[in-house]
Amino acid sequence: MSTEPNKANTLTPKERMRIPRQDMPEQDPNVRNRNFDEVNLGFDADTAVQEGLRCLQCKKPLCIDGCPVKIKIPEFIQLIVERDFPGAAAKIKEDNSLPAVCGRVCPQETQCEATCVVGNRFRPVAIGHLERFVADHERESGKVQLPKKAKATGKKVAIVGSGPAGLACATDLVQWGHEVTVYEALHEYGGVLVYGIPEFRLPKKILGAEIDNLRNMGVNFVKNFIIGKTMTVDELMGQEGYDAVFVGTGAGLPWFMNIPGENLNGVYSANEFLTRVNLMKANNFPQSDTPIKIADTVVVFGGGNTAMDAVRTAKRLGAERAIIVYRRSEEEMPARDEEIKHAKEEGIEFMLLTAPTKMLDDGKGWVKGVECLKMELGEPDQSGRRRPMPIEGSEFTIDADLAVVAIGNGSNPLLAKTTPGLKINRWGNIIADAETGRTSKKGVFAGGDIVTGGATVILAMGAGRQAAAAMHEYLETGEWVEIDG
Amino acid sequence: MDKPDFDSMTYEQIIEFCIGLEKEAVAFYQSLAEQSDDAASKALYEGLVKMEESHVAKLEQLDEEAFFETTPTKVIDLKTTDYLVVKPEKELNTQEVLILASQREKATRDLYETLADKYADEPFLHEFFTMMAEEEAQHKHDLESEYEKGIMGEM
Amino acid sequence: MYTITSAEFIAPDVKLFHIKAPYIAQKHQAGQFVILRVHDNGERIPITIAESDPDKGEIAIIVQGIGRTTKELNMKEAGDHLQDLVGPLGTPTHIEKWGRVVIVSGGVGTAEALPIARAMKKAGNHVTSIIGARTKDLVIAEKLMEELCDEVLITTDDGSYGIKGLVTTALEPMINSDTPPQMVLAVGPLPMMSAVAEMTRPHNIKTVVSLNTIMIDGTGMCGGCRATVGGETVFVCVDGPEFDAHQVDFAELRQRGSMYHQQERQSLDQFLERCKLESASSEDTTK
Repeated sequence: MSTEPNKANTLTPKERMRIPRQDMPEQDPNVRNRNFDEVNLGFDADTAVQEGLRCLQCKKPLCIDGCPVKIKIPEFIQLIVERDFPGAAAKIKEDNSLPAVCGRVCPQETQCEATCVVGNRFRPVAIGHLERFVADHERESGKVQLPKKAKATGKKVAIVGSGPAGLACATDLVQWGHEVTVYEALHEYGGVLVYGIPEFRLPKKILGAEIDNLRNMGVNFVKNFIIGKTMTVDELMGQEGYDAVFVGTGAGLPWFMNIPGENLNGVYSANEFLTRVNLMKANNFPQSDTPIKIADTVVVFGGGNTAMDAVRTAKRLGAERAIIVYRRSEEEMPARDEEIKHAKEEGIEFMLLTAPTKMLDDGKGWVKGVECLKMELGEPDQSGRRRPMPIEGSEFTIDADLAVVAIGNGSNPLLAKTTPGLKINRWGNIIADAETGRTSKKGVFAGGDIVTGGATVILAMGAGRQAAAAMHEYLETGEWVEIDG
Repeated sequence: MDKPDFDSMTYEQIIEFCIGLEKEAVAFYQSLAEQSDDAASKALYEGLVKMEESHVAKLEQLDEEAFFETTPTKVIDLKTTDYLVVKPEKELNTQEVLILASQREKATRDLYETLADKYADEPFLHEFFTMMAEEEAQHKHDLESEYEKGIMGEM
Repeated sequence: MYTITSAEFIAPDVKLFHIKAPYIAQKHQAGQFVILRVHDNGERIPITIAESDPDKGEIAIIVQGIGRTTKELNMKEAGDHLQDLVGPLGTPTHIEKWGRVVIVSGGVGTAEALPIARAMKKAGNHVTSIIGARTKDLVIAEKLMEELCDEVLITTDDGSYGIKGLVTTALEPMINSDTPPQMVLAVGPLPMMSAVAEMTRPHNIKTVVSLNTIMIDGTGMCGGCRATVGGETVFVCVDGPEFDAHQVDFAELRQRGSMYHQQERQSLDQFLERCKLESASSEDTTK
């Protein structure tokens, strides 16, 4: 089915809204829950055009308000409808340097698609799927356009951490003519995109291609280098001659629950469980040297994207039962709608309104189950979500031979500890100006999870870009404004 | 904290005991405040020091008139930290401090509730201990809310 | 690329490497370690830095070939490269003037103890080294220790060299003497460290052990290295690797250390099988 571009512009809003939202083709649930290939297969060109036609091309597009980086959504969709896919890619890249990533991992249902006018009466335009299509089309065409670079400014910038915040920050700064070096602690680039988000949601080759683009734009990458250990921020700005530093080290300190038995064998943090598979490829053991425990029943504590990633990974590793244990109801789950839907399709069990209170020992030091309490929802808290309250006497046990704690991350103190003058709050988050990322230390900016605590990829990218703009100004003018607090 | 045998104690001894307990709490939060190098944690602990100091003052004065000007409200018990375990032996992080402090407040609340029951027939003392219990419950609520916000966002 | 500048066996299955790592050499302090990968499918393993030379831009590590990765590593020669190398990681040893310090080490732990001995001596301590090994051939770094310490005692299980017995056999008389140590530091296999801890505990002698746990990132990100010290969970990679020996839960450490025994065995067998096949086929071609 092909739609002529000239015809496209003649559709009335009514006709546009009559087109049903195009479904994302997916691997069959019972096949994909045994492999690590990507779940979503992507739109083809005709499907993308058809979906693009659903966009009303609003004069005052509300979808843009919903986007943390303000992608010109109707404009890129119009270019799709006109089958100018490279043009659409260029349009997105004016505001977002990692569209192939964001098209896959952004929580569109609470952002751009939440404010889409079509969504008032029908299902919203599949903006995320379209973004992904455009990015994939460009990459697969082999003709990736690199943005023009401004004349070299002679200024040097160090970016600490190669996650979403750092990559977004690097993209802008290199375009504006600064010399940019990204430092990464691990042996691969991408931060949470490489160690946290599984292959079946974000294939590594797609991330690799995005990193290659940045390299081709002139960004230097240094791996196996820990700022705070191998070198300090002060040394970067001293002997190494950097004019400014951006800290985007993420929320790399897993919370445990502090319930008895959490150090039993077979109890992992989500970070460890996912890193073993995503970064170290433990799913290929023994071809890869890093092992992971294979279990029949896996319980994962948490209701965020990380929990969904962990539980679906456990299923793919061969678990018969893979169970989400969450204290609230499905409504309060912070995970993307699509991840919850995919998880259910793949046979993941959901034990809601359930709180773990104790890990049980099999007598040989391995976990054999979890003691839980049933919960009920009480009054709403500050976030507006209803609070879970334990029901007295509702104790019960789930048998499990592997448990993953995915309740969230605090801030890793490694960098802040070795950076005098850099202020942090009680959670270890770096205190930074929300608009500019300026910290309490001159020339040092910060953004992403290290500032906000655990949030989303796109918010981190947004923070990286805002900081880039402020850094650019600082590098040009040398003016530094102290932040409050 | 072991529950003392209030029945074998005089009224003065009980008040003395409660003052000791509150002073312990003051010292506990004060030492945390002194140990912490970051400003935000310091502020949190210093806030707790002030709250507990006010309790010492209230117990020392036991002023009937001033007391009846305030009306206690029923605080909801979140029970977030009731099942968690922290041993106070080492340098604590914010998560551990919140657990420990919440559990401390819970124990004190329970104690004041016991005393409120003991003085069920003495209106002033009954009201006084009920209010003290509610204030400790409020501290527990505040600390647990902080714990919910900071740690349990995805749980 | 991380170039190996020299590699030599100093005992059976124990190899000393010098590796070009200028930044790490610059920053290294006693007690710290690196994490490395041998090849692209390799696992990340922590190894304590035995020595660093900031002028030459090199660090030294001593590796005992026990599992797959360490055996593979010990096949590397000068001029070869490591896939990845990162550090220096962990909190450095707390160095101060204690008075009399005894450093107890076993196996490659002796290599790890060298920088600690050097720093303790420099801080003005009287330093005694007790090196334990199963048998004479396995005693390493004795000469180096002799240069650094006031006194070196060797114990071997079979009595083939030095005192016959365990490290505790040599430690006991010191503890019961008129001039007991103010500080004991133990680096080596878990049972050895645990035995030292039990021996000093009744005497209230400050005792520190250097823990070697399973790790991935080494920066506190995964929590795989957690241990219980004083009833509290710690991350060995950032909070350690050195802890108060009298507070460490050794039983849990042993338990956690055995988590992947089965897979480690499988991985090693597969590797040894491959080595056998490769050497057989190279013999074929030379025939």
